[in-house]
Amino acid sequence: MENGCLNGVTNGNSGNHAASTAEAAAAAAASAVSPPLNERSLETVRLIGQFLRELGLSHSVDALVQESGCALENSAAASFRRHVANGDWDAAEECMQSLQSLVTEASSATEIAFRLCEQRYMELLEAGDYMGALNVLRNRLTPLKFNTGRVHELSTYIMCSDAEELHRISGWPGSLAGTREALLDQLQQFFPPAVMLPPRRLLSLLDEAVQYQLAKCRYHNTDLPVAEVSLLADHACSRDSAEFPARCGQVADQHQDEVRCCQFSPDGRHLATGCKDGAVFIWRVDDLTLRLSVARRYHIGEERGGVACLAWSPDSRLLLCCAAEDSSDVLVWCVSPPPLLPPASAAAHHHSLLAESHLNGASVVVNSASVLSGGSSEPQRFSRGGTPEESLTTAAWFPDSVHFVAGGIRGQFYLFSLEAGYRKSWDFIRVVALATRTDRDGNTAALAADSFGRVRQYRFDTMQDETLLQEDGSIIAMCLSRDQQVAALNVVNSGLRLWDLQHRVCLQRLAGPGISQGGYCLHACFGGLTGNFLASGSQDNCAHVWRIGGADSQPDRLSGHSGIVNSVAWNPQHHGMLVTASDDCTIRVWLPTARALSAAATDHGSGGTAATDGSSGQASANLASSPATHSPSDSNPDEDDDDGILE
Amino acid sequence: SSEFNASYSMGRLHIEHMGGERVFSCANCDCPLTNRQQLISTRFTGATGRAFLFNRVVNLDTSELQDRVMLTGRHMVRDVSCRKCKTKLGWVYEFATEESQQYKEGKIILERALINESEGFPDPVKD
Repeated sequence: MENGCLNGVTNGNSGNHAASTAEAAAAAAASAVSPPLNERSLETVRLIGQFLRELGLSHSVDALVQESGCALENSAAASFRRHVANGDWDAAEECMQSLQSLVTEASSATEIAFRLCEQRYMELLEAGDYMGALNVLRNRLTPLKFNTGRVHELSTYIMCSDAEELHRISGWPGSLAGTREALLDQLQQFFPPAVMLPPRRLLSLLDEAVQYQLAKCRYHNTDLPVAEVSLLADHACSRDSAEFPARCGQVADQHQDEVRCCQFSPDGRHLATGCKDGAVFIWRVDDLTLRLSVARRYHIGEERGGVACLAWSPDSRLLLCCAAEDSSDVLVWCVSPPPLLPPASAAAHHHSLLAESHLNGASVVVNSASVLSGGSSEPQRFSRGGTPEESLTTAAWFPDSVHFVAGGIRGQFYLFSLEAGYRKSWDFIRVVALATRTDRDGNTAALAADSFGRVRQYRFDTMQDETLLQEDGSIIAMCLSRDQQVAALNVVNSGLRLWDLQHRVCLQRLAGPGISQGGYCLHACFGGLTGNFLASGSQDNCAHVWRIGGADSQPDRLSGHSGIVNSVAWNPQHHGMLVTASDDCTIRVWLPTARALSAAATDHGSGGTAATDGSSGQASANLASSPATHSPSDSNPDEDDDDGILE
Repeated sequence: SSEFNASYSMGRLHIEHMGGERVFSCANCDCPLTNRQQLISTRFTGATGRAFLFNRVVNLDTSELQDRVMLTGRHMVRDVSCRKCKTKLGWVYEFATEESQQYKEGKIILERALINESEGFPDPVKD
């Protein structure tokens, strides 16, 4: 029993803490607990006590205090709390005398007194006791010489005729609206926690623990509120129950050759895929089933070496395409027509287009079915009108969906606009990959990864440039996170590197044996509800998916393709939908397990997918043979009529 | 593009570019290889005649290791070919048995007839 006292002394805490621990120790001497509680246990009891008290379970609180021998709080603080809660202002001020030494900062004592008087004053006004209120104002608040502006403000409230007007004018909700409790919460911050606990301390610790678990959760892809996560076991989504694209739900084989690129439109309603044979397909995403069906088929010609880059405009209307082989032009299709212009203004607009392009002296081929009127399958071609030695193999849009940059390793780096064609050039930069980034002031810069392993920022409006980072290898591909804060670089023989663009430091290195050793153009894509996943194609015929910032840097591997996975695309609106494009001429749609299984079941139920997307019976045969998708014994929650046991 | 464009079904190859003011490329498909700054010596001979020794060359595939006796002695070499069109372009010295020849280790021979020289440009950032 004497150990209780010794504990308080030998811990070597601050005087404040010793004061309360000594009290607690004295109480422990009389308590039933043996051996006496250690430091951590005492603190936990205090937290539990606070939790119970805040719930209003005062009997439990008393029992807890008695049985543990642990005072929940410094006794003076407890009295203070009680007096404030009851509105015994004089008694509260008396308590403050003894508490004064315990305050963290000596100057706060005045502020505490001020706030007590302020509450007292407002309550007196509310009750209609004008004399009492005036007394507090003159004899207690004013002598403090603290926050005189507020004192003036308070003095004007005397003019309020009743409580309701007082509440309205001052914004103070009233003594019945928990303002005393709110006052205590505010006053708590002037005291060290050993004396007065921060409010709801146990609950905030529990919330932090939950947030930590959510951050670590490998497959977490939903916005589950922290308060709804169960505390009974550590939170960890299972791969099959999460909103994680775990299983293949669709195999589409409409392409005839290696599929090189895939990109979702920003509104998540369309997918564009580009093929080695020059075909570009636009797929529609069904809102309910997330099924892909071919909506448009474009062709850029076979002599161009296949599609190298596809880029949707930010408004999801236009698709830009760069070819792989020494193409001096880029193509833009209008996939969805814009809101209709009245005929007169449309013609006038078209005229001004032609005029402007002649002014620039650039020979832009403005197709008569111009991009603005939409719906045509003829693309608009953009080039500088230069020599055939020019090569534009990568491009990126500006946020206005009118301007874009395009470039290639022969040294072309151009700014284009839909209306006027070629606008500006930045000379002698061998461009490998492009993106655009808008800063807080609304200025957009082009980010270019170049052949020297650098990522540099180019402002075409001010013609200023700067180097953001230097890699120690050749950069193959670059993609930006949704918030444009992080760039993922595929670097030869180094896997994927994540860079913070603001602070220009390398955040993480994701090793991927199949990702960069062979020197193939493999593309990656950020995705997920909070953009915390990164998916990448790989030579090992799988897509690799990492949880960024997770302790575990081992990727999840989505296998099923029979050729190199060249590119991946994560739907920006349906966060559990991932598409992979492969050398095996197919694209695969990966969905959360439940969805994938029901998608497969629907396939079989309707006898193949010939009706919806024109795919051959081959597609459903593929579906049946791919091991991940169909299992006869799986029950499909959408289709079962008679699950459950009749008793 | 060249009719000899051998397209093996293996995805799109990443083509590096060393830059430089005078660029050497594959004569068959124009794939960039190296530049004048990497040139060490022009006094070598290959199967098609004159050959150049370069310090570093990109976009090459290498063959298996071969034991070869040359004018300058016995060497272990690998044949190198253009990554893009697979045309054989020269070889790389892995190991020289004679000490006087060890300076060539890791360096690449490209045959003059099989490469083009063209004008490039300096890197505007470095200068």
